[in-house]
Amino acid sequence: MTIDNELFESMRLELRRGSLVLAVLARLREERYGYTLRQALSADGLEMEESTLYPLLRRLESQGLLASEWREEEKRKKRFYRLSPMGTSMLAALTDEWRAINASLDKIL
Amino acid sequence: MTLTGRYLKAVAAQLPRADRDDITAELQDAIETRMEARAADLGRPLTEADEEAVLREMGHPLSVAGRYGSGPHHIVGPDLYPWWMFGVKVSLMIMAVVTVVVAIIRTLVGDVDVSQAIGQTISSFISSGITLIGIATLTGYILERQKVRPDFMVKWRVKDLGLFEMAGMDTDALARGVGGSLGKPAAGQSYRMSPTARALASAVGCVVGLLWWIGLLPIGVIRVEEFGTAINGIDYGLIFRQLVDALYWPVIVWFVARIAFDLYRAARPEAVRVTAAGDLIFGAVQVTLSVWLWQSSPLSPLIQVDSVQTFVERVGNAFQGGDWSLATILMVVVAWSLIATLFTMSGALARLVTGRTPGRD
Repeated sequence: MTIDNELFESMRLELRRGSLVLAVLARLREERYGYTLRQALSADGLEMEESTLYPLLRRLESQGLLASEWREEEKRKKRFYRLSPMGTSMLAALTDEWRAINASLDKIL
Repeated sequence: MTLTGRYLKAVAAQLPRADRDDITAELQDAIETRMEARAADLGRPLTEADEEAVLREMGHPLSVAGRYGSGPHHIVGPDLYPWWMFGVKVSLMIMAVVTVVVAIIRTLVGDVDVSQAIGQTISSFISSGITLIGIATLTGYILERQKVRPDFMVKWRVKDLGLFEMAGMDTDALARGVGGSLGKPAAGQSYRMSPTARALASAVGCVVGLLWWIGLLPIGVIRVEEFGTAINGIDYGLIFRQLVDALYWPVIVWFVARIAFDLYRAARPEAVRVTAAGDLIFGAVQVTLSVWLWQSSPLSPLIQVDSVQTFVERVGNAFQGGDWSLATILMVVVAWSLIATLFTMSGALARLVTGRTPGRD
């Protein structure tokens, strides 16, 4: 039976939305700036618009999960992000949670 | 100014001042990096159309800036939305009933003809409805931004849900609601509205009444002082204007106190004696008003009679002759209001003495 594309797209986005924070935190185990982070996520199969990514990075920083600093690179000022100590703990906790959800879903599907 | 500069200026204008420079600097870097990548892909410098396409891919400045905002990104969020919708429905229902009743009375006393009444009712309902929805939305906006939800949203009881059946806006729901509030079970039902539900309904009604009284909610395109002109040689307009002048601030104080009291009743339905004492006080105020209207107000010469017999004769003549003058109608309304208030006060006195509400938990 064919599925409604619009409905599928909306549900797919809902499914993805929950995983973006975990993906961003995981990729920031290594220091990156916005553009390289976006490229790394894209290479992992997670496309994210700058207009979604940058506000997310600011929110995670305001929540104490990331630390950032401005540095000059290639004659341009860029803001580099990395996990804070609390972000590292949060990543570990979320990873466990994600694996538990995955295990549950594997049983059901 | 470059296209990127104009774009960033539009985004910056929507951002909080404290973060503006930081955010626009980061966005500028993102945009310039993206443009470099696009130029590398195309193998040539970007034209203005190419630059515009890149900026469009970033998103509209309002959307981009909106994502940086802290706090709720909605006026009324998903949790509060059902409450907002309920409040709007109930207020509109009350306002519709009042508007129609006022129009009927005005038509009956000859103040307007039927077509004017219909036209004014529709236009008044629309303008008042918009005002009510605006007030409900503003209230929702304020509540959405509180740290803690109000008690009536989180600490509710199943027996308080009768009021919420009324907002189903069908005749069955209204019958259940009205039957409950009059203390009589609706057909086939034994359920009565709980004190909390009645208190909330009263509070909503008083808010609508207060807004109409102070002129913020034009119901029926009518102010009390505009009600009626000269009928049978009596200038009711002048009388009502004098009544409004005398009662304007006392009525406001009464409404405000009543709303506060109803909200207290809703929050503390178990405080039977306190609410009974409050009902007695409000009842005493209403009795005072009725007595003043009867004996000392500008309306007194029209409605006051010197004995019960004269009262009965006057009402009897109206029934027999079918001639219900406005003065006779007002006389009956004031007398009935006094009797009903005394009856309500006797119930409140019983609750104050016993500490229990008869027929409830």
